[in-house]
Amino acid sequence: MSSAAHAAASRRRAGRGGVLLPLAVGAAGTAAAALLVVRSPYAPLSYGICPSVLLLGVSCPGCGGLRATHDLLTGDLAGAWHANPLWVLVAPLLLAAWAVWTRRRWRGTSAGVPPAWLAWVVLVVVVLFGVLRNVPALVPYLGPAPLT
Amino acid sequence: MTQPADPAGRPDADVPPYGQEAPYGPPPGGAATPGDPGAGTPAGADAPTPDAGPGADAWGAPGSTYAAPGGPYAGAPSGGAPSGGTPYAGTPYAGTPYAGPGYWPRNDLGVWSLVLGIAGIVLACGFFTGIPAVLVGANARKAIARGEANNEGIVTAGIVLGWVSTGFGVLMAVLLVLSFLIPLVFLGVTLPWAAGMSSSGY
Repeated sequence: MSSAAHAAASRRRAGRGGVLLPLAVGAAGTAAAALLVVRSPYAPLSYGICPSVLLLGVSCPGCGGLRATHDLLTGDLAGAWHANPLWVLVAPLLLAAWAVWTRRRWRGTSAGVPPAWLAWVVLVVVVLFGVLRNVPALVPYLGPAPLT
Repeated sequence: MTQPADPAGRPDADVPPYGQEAPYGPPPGGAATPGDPGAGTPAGADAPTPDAGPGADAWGAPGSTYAAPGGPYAGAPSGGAPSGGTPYAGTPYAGTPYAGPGYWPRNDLGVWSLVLGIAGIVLACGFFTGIPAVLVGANARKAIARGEANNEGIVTAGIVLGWVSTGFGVLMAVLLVLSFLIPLVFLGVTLPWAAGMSSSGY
């Protein structure tokens, strides 16, 4: 059957060569991190203006993400938390997920798909965070710290 | 954990009987035979019939150095016989390259595509989630074609939403650029590359 043939093909593809994709993603992430260290997002207009803020005046869930990443990379955990608390929590999980993905690809085991419920949980958490951080009373806790 | 009867019961003609292979119990530490699938070659690229080995060995030789058949091959016990003749050929489990607790259908990919597409619309992430939604949806389509999943509607919705949010993203980028350029034009700022045009009779 084609199914058995595909299983064999996918296992062959997931050999040593299968690790190239995670490595490419890791390289892109490292390059982005290096850029964020060198070019501070705290400088005005260094990366433009988020269209969400510009057009709608609303802080999207990712607002402050560049600043938080810059602070995390330069060791300023408090600054990162004030820029985007959700990203501070999620970034280490993303790193761990990348490590697991790379390890699986390296060992040649078939890449597992994250369960479907996780997708819904992530969506709900992100949307909820995006709503709550625009509530005026919660802006000091969840919103991005104002640029001075 | 895989059942011991699963790999051992497969009619693989080219696998020698396990009793005739090298005894895996005695060899100390690092002395790995080249065909030893459990010792040094996690990917099993060189070992012949890498899948049928560890399970049967670990169960056949009680004194072996392997801890459990849950090694790197535990993920693909059912894909080990591409030469056809798997005992489960008719069931959807036969094609799944996963081991685990085998449940069917595996619709996770399609749901991820849908959620990414929804995020592209609701959160206005544009192509940041739209393009992944399309890619994951394509993989989910392949899973359906393989008989591992059966959520065609959800996958289609995910792909469509992915394209729509990608289009929104492109539109947003164009608007953003225009919103910077148009005021410049109204302010009478002449862009350097447009200086030649305005002086040439228009």
